[in-house]
Amino acid sequence: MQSEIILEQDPRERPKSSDERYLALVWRRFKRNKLALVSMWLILAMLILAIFASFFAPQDPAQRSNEDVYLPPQGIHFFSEEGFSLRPFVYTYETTFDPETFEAKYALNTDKKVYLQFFSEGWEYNFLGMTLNTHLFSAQDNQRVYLLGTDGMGRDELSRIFHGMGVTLLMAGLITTICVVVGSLVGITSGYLGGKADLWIQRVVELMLAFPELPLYLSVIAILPKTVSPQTTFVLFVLLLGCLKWAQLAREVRGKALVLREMDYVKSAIAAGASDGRIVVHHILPNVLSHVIVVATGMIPTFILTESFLSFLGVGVQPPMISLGLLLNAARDYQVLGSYPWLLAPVGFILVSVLVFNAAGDGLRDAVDPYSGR
Amino acid sequence: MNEQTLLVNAENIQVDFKTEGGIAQAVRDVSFKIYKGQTVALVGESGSGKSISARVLMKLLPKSAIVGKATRITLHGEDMSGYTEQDMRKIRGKKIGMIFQEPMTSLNPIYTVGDQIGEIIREHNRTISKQALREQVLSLLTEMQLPDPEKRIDQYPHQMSGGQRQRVMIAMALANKPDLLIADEPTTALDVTVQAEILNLLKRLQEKFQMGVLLITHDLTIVRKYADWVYVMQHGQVVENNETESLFTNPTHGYTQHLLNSEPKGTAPAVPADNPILLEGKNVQVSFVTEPGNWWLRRPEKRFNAVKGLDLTLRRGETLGIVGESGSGKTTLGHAILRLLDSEGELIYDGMTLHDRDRKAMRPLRKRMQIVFQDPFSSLNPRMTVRQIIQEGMIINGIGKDDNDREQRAIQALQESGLAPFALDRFPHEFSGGQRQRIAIAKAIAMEPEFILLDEPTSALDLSVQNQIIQLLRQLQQKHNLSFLFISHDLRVVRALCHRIMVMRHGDLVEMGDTVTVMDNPKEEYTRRLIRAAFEVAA
Repeated sequence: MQSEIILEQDPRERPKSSDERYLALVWRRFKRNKLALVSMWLILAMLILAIFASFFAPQDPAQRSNEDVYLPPQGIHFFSEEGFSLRPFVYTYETTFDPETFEAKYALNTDKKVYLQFFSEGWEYNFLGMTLNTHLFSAQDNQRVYLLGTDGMGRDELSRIFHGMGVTLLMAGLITTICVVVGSLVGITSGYLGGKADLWIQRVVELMLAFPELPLYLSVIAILPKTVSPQTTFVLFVLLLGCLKWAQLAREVRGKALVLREMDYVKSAIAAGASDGRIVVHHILPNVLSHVIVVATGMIPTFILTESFLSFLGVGVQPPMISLGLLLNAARDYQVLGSYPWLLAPVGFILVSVLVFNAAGDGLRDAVDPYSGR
Repeated sequence: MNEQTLLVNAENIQVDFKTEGGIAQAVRDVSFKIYKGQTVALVGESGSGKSISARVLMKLLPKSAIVGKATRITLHGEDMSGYTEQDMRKIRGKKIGMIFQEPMTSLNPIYTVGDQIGEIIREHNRTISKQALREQVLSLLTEMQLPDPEKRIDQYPHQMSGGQRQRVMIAMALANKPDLLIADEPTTALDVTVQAEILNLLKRLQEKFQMGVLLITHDLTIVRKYADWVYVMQHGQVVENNETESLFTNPTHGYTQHLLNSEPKGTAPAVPADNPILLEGKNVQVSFVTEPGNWWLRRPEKRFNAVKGLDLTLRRGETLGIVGESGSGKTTLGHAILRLLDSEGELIYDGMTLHDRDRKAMRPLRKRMQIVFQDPFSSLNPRMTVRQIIQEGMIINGIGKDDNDREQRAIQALQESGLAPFALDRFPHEFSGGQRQRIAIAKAIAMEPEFILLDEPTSALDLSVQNQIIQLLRQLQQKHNLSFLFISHDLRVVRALCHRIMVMRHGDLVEMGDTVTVMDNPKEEYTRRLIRAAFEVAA
């Protein structure tokens, strides 16, 4: 038909319509936000650091040392009076005490250089059932290096932060997973079923939202016997937070499901004889998923902060486990803080991790709906 | 025409858009002239660049738009290209007024209409007193033939109907007696009977104020009746322009001829009288709860009767049209027949009762009854490929031996709907409205049903695409002996496709009978009004 030909040809120059898949589109839009992109790489780096913490840590995080109590951070040097050295080295500190105030005084001993060695053998650790002893770096001749100083028991702050980050991220990840699963399930059920079921589920959700969380944690920690293992406390902590924090997500997902339920394609699926399960899995879930992913990325930083806050108060992660919040717990004393400010180093790590997750979440938010508007 | 004063002279309008993939051309070299007191129509299908050309006049383009250097627009002989945003603010509303397609969203819901009209007058006349302002707004509303203007002036937009809101929009556009009125699809969102009233009002106001009117529309019948001069646009260019009558009687460009030929024509071929009855409804009623009851206060729930006891029959191979204005209950009736809504009364399909079946019991019947929705943008799941969309029904109902067989069936359904098999791997957003509607039809016929409910399948589409869909439906009906229930407000389409029609109003049956009989010889006043609105706007 000639008229068809007239209709089909549009001589206007148009950028080629891309037949990209959903993920490719999301990725392309995500890349445009440079901050989010950098954040994503940082998150990846943090995860690698946390997973292989023992490899990156120069010292055993639990190793105490009576000589090395409260040592300040050692700077890495390449230059000395003798000139440039390709191998980085640190100077050791000599501690003296003020005879009147008993205040510790640190003097850098520039005569003695401690060279760093890379991929060296050091303390033994377990990774996936293997016993390894290779580390990224350590000091030569079995000496010790403290790039971020030591705490009151002479333990290396840097090694402890690396290990603590793993626990903090694991906790935030676990809680988020629980919240996402429970929240999406409850939200979709509530929104899709509607009516009476929706009414009652929403009342439960409101109860969860109104629940005073802090008193609950405090009382649970208080009634736990002292003998309970730190692992049990950790699991309990995850379960408690997971059980209380899904409500907000459930609300949002319910709102989405309510809208999607009325879409013509859902009616069309009903008209084709689809069961409720099929509609939820094929029509509702894929369309709320992008929203859920965005909310989940936003949840992680709030849980990192909650963990830090509670562990700082001493009611979160219990020693000998290490978490970023627990490390800060050592700096809660004004006197300690004034004399040994390097104990605040975990704050930097918390700040960075919260910021990068938020930035990446923002980028995702803009990227996940490539079909809606330009 | 030429002895009149030139109001707007637009030359070489060129607009590009920055998009992710690069620069997209939208309008290429469009020129038009508008004289004082003249109605100029820009006609074209969606995406032809007609709205963008008009918005260039107002400098109301999105940020991503790039206006070409050669673009030169003069208003009263004065070049507008150097105008800043500040200069434009003095022109918008004062010299050029604009009305939009959607009266529901163009008014601010939290101000009374009087406030909104008054604001525009005050914007260009700061010293006007409150009393004078109110009087001026009142006289404007009276001018717009809004019933009871004294009361309407203090009402909020949501208290008015679509037609009344569009009158308020026109009052706002004309508040400062502009020299030029841009009307961007002013009646598309309105019911047919209201359309004619609004257009007549515009015509009268134009003559009174001697304005130039730039009418943007895809509806040729409107153009023929109201425009003095027509510019036909295709792919961002003006392909033909002429005086209205000469253009309609003697179109020179192929595209114009194509547009003029795409009016739905013909009537449905007759159905053999001995075809068995497929679907029968007796005293079908549908009601919605508008206010839940209160057991404590002994207050019964309030119900709204959307369909009030209708009888209908549909034979095999027949098309029954259900016609009515928006809110007449026609879609509700259709959904009740497919048991997507609960209803009362009897529904009998091929000797089996439907009305006592719940969703589960309906399942064996689903593959025999299908539905095509009005809006092809919301009826296809954006996260599924066309293959998944078409095969879903087959998988649910166990049609096809294996994946290979289903693939073949899907390809066949696509081809019957006029699409190539390569569409299978794509997502709905990669297709145009007409193509999406074809996918929706392919989805329905892939199940090899006997009956398809067509819920305004053409009203969201361009005229020439409408015509293609109508022809497609006719072919499919003859090939597969399908029965259609065709819901529409567009009597022209109904006439071309339906054997019999049912006219509905407020949930009641107004009239029923053979399409030709009802159309040529309507018994009821309401039917006459619908027919007049649909066909006589054209005359």
